[in-house]
Amino acid sequence: MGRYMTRRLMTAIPVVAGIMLLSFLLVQSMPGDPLRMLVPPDLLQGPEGEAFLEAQRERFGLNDPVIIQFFHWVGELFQGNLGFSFHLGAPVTEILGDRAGPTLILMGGSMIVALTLAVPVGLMAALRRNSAFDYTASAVGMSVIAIPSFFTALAAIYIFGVKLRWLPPGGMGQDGFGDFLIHAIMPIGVLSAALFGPYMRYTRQSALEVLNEPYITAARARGASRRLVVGKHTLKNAAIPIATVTIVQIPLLVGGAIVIETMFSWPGTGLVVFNAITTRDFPVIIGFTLVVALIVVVSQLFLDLFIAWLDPRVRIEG
Amino acid sequence: MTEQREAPGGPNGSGLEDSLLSVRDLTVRFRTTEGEVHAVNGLSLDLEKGETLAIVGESGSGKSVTSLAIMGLLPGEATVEGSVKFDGRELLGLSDRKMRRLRGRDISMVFQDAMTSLDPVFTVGNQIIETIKAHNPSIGAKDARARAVELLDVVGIAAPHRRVDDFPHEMSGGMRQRAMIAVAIANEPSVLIADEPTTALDVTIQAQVMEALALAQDATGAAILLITHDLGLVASYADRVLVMYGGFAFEMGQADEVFYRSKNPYTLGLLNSIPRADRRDEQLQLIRGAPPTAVRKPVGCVFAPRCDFAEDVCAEQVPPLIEVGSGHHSRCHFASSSDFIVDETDGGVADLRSRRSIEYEEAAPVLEVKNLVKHFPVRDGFFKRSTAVVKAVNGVDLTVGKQESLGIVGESGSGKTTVARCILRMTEPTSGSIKFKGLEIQDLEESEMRELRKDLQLVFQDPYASLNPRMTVREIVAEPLKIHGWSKSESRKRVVELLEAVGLSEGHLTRYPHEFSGGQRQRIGIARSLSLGPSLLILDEPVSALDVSVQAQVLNMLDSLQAAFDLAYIYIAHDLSVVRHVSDRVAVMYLGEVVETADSDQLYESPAHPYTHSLLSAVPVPDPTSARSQKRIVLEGDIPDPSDLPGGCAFHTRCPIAQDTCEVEKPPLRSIADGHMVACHFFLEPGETLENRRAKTINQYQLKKNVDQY
Repeated sequence: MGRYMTRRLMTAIPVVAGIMLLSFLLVQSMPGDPLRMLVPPDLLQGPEGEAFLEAQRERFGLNDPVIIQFFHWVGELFQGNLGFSFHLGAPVTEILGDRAGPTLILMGGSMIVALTLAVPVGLMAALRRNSAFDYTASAVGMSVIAIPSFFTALAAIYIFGVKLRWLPPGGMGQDGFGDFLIHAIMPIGVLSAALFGPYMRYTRQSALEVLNEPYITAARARGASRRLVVGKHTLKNAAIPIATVTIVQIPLLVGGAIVIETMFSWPGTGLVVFNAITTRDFPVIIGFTLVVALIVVVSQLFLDLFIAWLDPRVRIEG
Repeated sequence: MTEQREAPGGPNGSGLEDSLLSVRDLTVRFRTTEGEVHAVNGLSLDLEKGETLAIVGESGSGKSVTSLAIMGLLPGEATVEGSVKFDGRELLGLSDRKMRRLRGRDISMVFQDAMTSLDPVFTVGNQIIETIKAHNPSIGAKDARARAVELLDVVGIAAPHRRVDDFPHEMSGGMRQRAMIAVAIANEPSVLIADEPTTALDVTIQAQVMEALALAQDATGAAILLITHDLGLVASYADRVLVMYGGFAFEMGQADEVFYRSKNPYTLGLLNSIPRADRRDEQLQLIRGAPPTAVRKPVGCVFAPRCDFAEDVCAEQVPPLIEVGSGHHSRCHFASSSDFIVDETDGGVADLRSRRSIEYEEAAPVLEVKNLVKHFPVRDGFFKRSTAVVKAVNGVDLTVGKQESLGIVGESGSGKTTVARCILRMTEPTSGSIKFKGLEIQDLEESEMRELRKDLQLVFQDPYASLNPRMTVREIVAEPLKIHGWSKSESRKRVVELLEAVGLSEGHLTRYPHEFSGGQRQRIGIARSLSLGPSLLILDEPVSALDVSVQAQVLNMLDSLQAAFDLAYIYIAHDLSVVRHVSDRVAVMYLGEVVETADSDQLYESPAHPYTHSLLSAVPVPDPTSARSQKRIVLEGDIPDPSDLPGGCAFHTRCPIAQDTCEVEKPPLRSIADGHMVACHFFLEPGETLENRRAKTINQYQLKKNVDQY
């Protein structure tokens, strides 16, 4: 088990290094001189301006070979410095750090809500294959996959926020937990609706496969109760593909979260990143990409750990 | 139904009520997209306390469906009618909740493949305890665990208190199957249904598992319903036999009655079509065609299309089960009037196999393998350092003459398939020489090798996986011709020729593999390998995926092709009976070495190596009398790990007659008679058995070994 995890960690390192290198090359290939963008234009007038620029270049190490610059950059990264936003005039770490919490709440909350609904429904659909319940669940799953979440978001804001006025149409509540919850219902609801479809279908699919396995028949043949057959044997075996799909979809979820945050004025990274994309604020975009990539790598590690816990065969195969 | 009153009683003609398990007029139909399939048709049987009743049948006979119907485990698409009574209580129609209380407590089941029938993500102990707790919820965790350990001990698992925490994949195949038996007997059931309990296992492991099953029966007094396709197992272990075909009971009676006084053309055909390890069959009698896969509503006898004795009435009326002896019933219109002697000149019998041995020994060998070694490094860790070496093949010498068939037998892990892969250059040998018609194949360029492959072909084990489902028969068989640049018209002519040689016809050219039965597919595969006119065909378990009655057809066909196409065969199999039937010479492999090689009759009649002895003694013979007198030497344990070979003689860890020398000194392969080579310090003389040798030499070494074990 320890060996298995060490090996997984070891393979994650080159992935992280690769992501860093790619991000750095992106910065390098950015058009324009970063100094010219940062320094006020009046300082750049005349020959003193050129000399000033040259001095600054020397000072910031911009004349160093690219590889040295890369290691400088990596060194800064490890100290938590992701660069400086041109537009917001603040360190990227600060900008993203302040907004990371709400985004994580939105994403994590939606995943939890979607899973707690999708797994039982998918399991039930598999157990009652070709029943009315199965068809209904499949139809609902299909429609939430087919309807884009920005549309669901618009519809929800219009119905619950504008017409019925049951829920606040946007923002994140600041007055205690109750207020926060009321504000969170719609964004989390819309995002988890989008996740529910694929989660439910995968659960149904993998449960159907497991239910066809001889060991399920064998469990029934020794008198195991339905609760044991479904809750123990089926669920644990079916959990492996479900967990994989859940984790693999995280990058997609990030894209979805950006849209939802923008629409509900949720104060997460989504708005900042959305603005950064439209204004080509590269340090923010790259910082965000790097953070997301790291989250994906880390969650992959957790997935591996989880699967190894579920399936003893994985532990030795590595 | 017209058969209501023909229900056979028990062995003593005992009435319905006394039977432990009594099945009457069981009918199972499945609704499928292609219409209704009649899987079981009016089956009646009785199982008495403590007896073993075998249900024999080929695929599609309905034997497994019957067992699932008894357990109430058939899927919702199945319609089940009739009556299944356990201890006088009707089971059909019981709710799943009520059935659940019986399953695993009164009636339990051992499934075919323990790898897939044990849940891979829970330990073996967990699954035994689950079974105990399902019927005894009040039992404490400690007691349940103690009971699980005890059960593993009953079925002969060493160190059960450690093994109880193993996951299924951590056990060897034989051990897993025993664990499965332990699960089945956890609540001391009165009926144990064993559905093909040893089918995927090697003979020595099969013997261990059957012994465990017998121990389990002794410990619980359970009646066993043994479901199998293997008549050898039936003869060795069953009190009574039920032969099923196409969902019908075809014959039923005491084992001796059915084996020696069969009154049914299907049973007789089956008995005559199986090759036997205990005698040389000059030919195998055939049953034409293949067993039905999905029976529609039957009109007439389901066996009639394959029966040599069929008359008009057979196509029109379902034959009744007729009593032909005491407790002996046969389903045939002519059961009481005909003797069913097969006319030897009839088309049902294949060509005689000509005996040849000396004439080819002088001819130049087609293949000469010298000191072949293949070691696979096991790469592990992040930097893929080689941490261990799997010694798959350790110095093998083989010679195959022109038109000779060499059989290679061995358990899984013996290295027989690796030898074949080296010969075909699908894997590079570590060292040694392989000469094909005098050419050292390892020196050949890739292009020369391609040329040589015309002459050296392989037939695969699985006819279902080895044919591309999207290609027609013509495309499949013509593919090698196309690669080697034959013109279209030439190749078409050749394909037709080949199809006819393997018993198919021109009409099959445009059909796809899924339209054929397993036996026919294997014929297509053989036709493909013959297309370029090879002189050596390597057959890797070519019939092990086929039904018994179909195996004989393919074996006989291979026999007649040998002369017609001037072929030499290397026949790789774990089934010793089949190897005896097809081989002129046999090499026995153990852990990557040839331990004995001899003319096939010599090897089977007077084996010299203790391993060959025990292998042969483990093969169940389809003859109840000899099966009863057969002294089975059950080898202990599993084949050792080929990455950690025992020193000295590799077999000494399992050898019943090993001595001190064997542990340190490797015996060379030496000649002990004309063409008979053996690698053993203490090989057995002709006529000597392992028993009397063992009695003579109860020696210090064996005593020490026994002490070490405890």
